[in-house]
Amino acid sequence: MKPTPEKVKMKLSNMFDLPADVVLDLPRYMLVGNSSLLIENHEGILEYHETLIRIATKDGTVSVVGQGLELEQISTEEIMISGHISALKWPE
Amino acid sequence: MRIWHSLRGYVMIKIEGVHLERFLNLCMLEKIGIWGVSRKSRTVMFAKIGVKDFPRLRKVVRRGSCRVSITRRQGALFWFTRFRFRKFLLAGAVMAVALVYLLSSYVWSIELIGVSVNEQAVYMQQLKEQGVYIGMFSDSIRLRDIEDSLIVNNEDVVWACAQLSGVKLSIEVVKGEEAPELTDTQTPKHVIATKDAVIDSMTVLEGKRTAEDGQTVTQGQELISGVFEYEDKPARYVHAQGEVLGRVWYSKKVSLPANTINATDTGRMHTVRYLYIGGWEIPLDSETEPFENSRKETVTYDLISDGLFVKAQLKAIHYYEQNVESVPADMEELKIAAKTNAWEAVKQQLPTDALIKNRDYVFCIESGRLICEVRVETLEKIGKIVKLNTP
Repeated sequence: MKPTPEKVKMKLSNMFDLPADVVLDLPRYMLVGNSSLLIENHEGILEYHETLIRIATKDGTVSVVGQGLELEQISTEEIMISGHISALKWPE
Repeated sequence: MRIWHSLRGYVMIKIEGVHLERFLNLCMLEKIGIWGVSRKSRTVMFAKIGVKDFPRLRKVVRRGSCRVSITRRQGALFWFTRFRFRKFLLAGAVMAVALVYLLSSYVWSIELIGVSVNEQAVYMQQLKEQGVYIGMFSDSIRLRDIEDSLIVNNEDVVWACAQLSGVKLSIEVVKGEEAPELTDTQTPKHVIATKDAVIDSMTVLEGKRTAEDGQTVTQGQELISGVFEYEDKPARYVHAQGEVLGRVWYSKKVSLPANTINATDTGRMHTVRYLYIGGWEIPLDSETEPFENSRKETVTYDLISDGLFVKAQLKAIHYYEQNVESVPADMEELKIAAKTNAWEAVKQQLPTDALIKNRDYVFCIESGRLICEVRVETLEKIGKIVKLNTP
């Protein structure tokens, strides 16, 4: 089976101890308590409600579940979500 | 970041449409900075956007098939824009700031610390002569000169400190203690007793001891003599000095009624009203007090207050009927009250430097009154130096 470019990058990243989010362009999440979440390297907003926000990333769709969720700041690089965050779900 | 947005000015917008997520993604693609996004319903969303970015929304709105309206304008930019058409308001604000600055450049209060109320006027006059007065320009104050002048002009002042805090000038003055008077040791004198007492101890500094410890002496009796007599040569006179401590007894009787008067309101009330106009008193009700026993409360209402041409008042006297009965007082409480009264009464007779050695209370009841006698034994100085009559 022919190795995909992603697998090659992953192996190189492991071999040279390079950060995976830089080499593979993976999303980064920074959660402060349960009131604020910063997502970097996203690919857009798929759905936005007060109780659910779905964000597209290279890994797939990430769901943020909570109460009174607000998009504190949005740009092409990062999204800052504030509110009462109760769950963060990644694709299976 | 919020302060920066507030300074530059921003608008709160309402976005209505079906595909609101598409609107947000288009904003990100066009690099339009929006923040504080909150969704209120399926088709309505609120957000904040900078003033400069707002015109760029036109393209996004068209592509996103939604409608945008401004709900509120915020920030310093809009605040200043409001003043563009209200020049007098702006001028008033500038004048108010200038006035506050100008008024804060003057001294509006002078506080003298360490000076008695009687001397305040004298010191204020001295300061006025130095050119320091309420209403002067604070920049022209020379604090060091004020301190120096107060020390030079007042012999009793040993230290002075002047401080200017805002519009208040505080001047603290410290006065030196007067030197004790020199004792005239040349004049022949002797020491006598100031009151009847039993001598506890005696320290003779100069002179001849004429009373012993434990001896009872009466007021005016010689305790230390200033005369030394000899058989073969003339008498020698000295200035007798010494400290004589004696035991002195004081007593005082006070009496309190053994029964107390208990007065309770019956609930009946009568009011007598008077109208005062200028200097005239006009009774509005019958003046007689209807009850045998009552308590009185006076309430005055200003109908026309001071400062106008005529002063008018309504005075209402409320009489509350009372049942009065005499009941035996609680003896323990009565004794405590009697002891307090007796002690307060006897305390006035005691010298301030007296040392209390013993204190007793004796109670008895006479003619329906509780009599309390307090007996106090003190240790105090009983010697007094008086001039000696010499031949």
